[in-house]
Amino acid sequence: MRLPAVTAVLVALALAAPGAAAPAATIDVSGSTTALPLVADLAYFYRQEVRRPPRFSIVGGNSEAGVADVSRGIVDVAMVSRPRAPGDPARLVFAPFAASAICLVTHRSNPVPGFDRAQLQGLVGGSLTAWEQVSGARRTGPIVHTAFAPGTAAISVFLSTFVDDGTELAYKPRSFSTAAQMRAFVRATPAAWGYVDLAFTGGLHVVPFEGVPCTRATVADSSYPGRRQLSLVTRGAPSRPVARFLRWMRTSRTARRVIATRYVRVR
Amino acid sequence: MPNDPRISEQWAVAPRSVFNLQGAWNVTRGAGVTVAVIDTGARIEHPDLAPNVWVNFAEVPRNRADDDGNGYVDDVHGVDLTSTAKRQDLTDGYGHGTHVAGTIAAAANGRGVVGVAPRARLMIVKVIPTKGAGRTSAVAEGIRYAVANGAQVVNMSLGGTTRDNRVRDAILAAADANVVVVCSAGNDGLNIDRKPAYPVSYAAPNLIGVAATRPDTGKALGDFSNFGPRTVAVAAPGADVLSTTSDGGYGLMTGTSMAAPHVAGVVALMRSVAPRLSAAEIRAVLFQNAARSSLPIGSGYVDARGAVRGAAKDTEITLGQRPRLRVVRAQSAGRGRRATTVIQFGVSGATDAVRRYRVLLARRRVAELAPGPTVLSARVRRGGKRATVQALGDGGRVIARVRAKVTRVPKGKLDIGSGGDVGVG
Repeated sequence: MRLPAVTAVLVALALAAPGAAAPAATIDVSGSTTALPLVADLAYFYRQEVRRPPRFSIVGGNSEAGVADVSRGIVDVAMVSRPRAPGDPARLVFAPFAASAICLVTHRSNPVPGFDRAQLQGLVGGSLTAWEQVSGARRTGPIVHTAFAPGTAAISVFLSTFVDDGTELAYKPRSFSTAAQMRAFVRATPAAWGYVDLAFTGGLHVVPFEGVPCTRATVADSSYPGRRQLSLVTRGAPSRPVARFLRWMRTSRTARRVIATRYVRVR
Repeated sequence: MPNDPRISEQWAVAPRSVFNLQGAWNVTRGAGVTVAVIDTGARIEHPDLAPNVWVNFAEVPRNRADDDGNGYVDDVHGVDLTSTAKRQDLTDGYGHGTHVAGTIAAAANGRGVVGVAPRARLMIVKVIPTKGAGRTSAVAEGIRYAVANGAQVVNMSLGGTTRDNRVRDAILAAADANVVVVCSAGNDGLNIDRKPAYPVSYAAPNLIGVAATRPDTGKALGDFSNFGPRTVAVAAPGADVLSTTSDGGYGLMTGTSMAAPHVAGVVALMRSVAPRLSAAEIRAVLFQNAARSSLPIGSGYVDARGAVRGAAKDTEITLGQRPRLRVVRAQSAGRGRRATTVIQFGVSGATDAVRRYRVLLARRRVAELAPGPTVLSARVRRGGKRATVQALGDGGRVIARVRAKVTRVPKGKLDIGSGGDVGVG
């Protein structure tokens, strides 16, 4: 994970404040690497805006690691980029703070005008194997499929949104664990298609689904189907410092602006 | 690629293994990292281990004195916590620790096998005797010893059913010193989310629980392996593992005991490319880059190449927060003019503005240290009841400080026979 540019620039300014550090509560956070850059930015601006801010210790992992850590009391808050799952401990409290989406993507040199539901069944079902079979594709030759690894939050959204229950997954995709890995691969592979989080579409062609583009606007009005929520998860009621941070995220104009840089705010 | 003759029998090293080790070796072999093997001892003169055995250069061998004032006599390569005898007998009468040590760091020397981190150092911490079980108090002291003497990774291929808060506290203290603790999940075929086993079930931000996979691709869980999506985060090769043996040769062993050292080796590789990442960051990067699986574990199969590359490009998120100082150890030995005090402290947060660290003992400046690693230590010939560490910025401005009470060097081996049983596994 990279330090957000705005944060990096302001590190020196923050350190220029006089005096030694006073003891402060620490909020330990772990989980989804998709949500991590946004949560890091929110934590940074929160610390600038409130009096006696807590310290934050934020690390990635994945949604499952975050859920495991928060349910065992290793961290105070988990970042989770999937809905509540049946196996999640009942006492976990999900607080959605942003809406994102899983966008279908191709290489920029192959700006496919759109995928419809039948084409996606053909792609994952193995009947579409060459780009000349896909209407509007500029390429010819074999299609390079990519997918997220089993167990990731992204693949569960992709399968539940875009793949019919009756479709057998017969394709042989290259498998990735993170959106950054998949983005890098599709960017470097003109014959590839895949799907990444809304904030990771830079440098890729974003393919509309059933004529609906994957944008913040279509996520906000719920017209794009591959929407997913990013949540902060606590074990039971949040502690006072965490509750204060969550309240700030819900009510602050700054938080609204920070979330809007990448995603759609959830009220 | 190392040319050790039996490497072809190490299935975890093969290109088809999901463990993906060869790609990691293109980046690092683990130089500069010390891994503590808390186990049954080790055959330190084994030709594949001898080049990589840790040496405590502050200790004079066999002079029956505690030269470095750490509470242990002649602890040149590690410590023996299975008896109260002053001398350190690291001999491995069981054969388990030698095998574990070889998996972590057998040398790439054209002989026998090669370890996951073939240039890492092995600190031998013996807590399980040849006959019978070890004690949780010895395990706790072993963790404390490893942290205090510079280990960055701790491997514990052992377990039991006794929960001992001394072990938990030692693991959490290791987290303050940015030490990653890798634990085997155990070999009962159980879901340990429901029936905890220790130490793997302690909740700590620096602890990694490991299940064991079988040859050849490393994707199937051994039927003996414990599991649990909340407690056991990753899986690694653990069945039919070829490594060093206590008779000086090589042999196959199976168990989660063999899986944990594969992960400890990967963590050593990660630490060698990213010495400033915190233990929690290292753990998160390992999970983030694990190859996902449908196994009943948290994150998936350890991918050595992905983990090392992830660590190399990762940046700790500091949010501009002032550095946080935490005293890991402030201990004194001797009295009066013979007093010696060791102050060891960990640093996290934004350290860019730190120009130096100052150590004070009884309000007198006794040491100044240059910034660099995440754990620093000062040894001074002076006593005192309170120690202070300050992080200084430009012009000597104090950016952060921490105070700690100085304690006497603990009795060490006198407190190793209590608590519950632990065995290999």
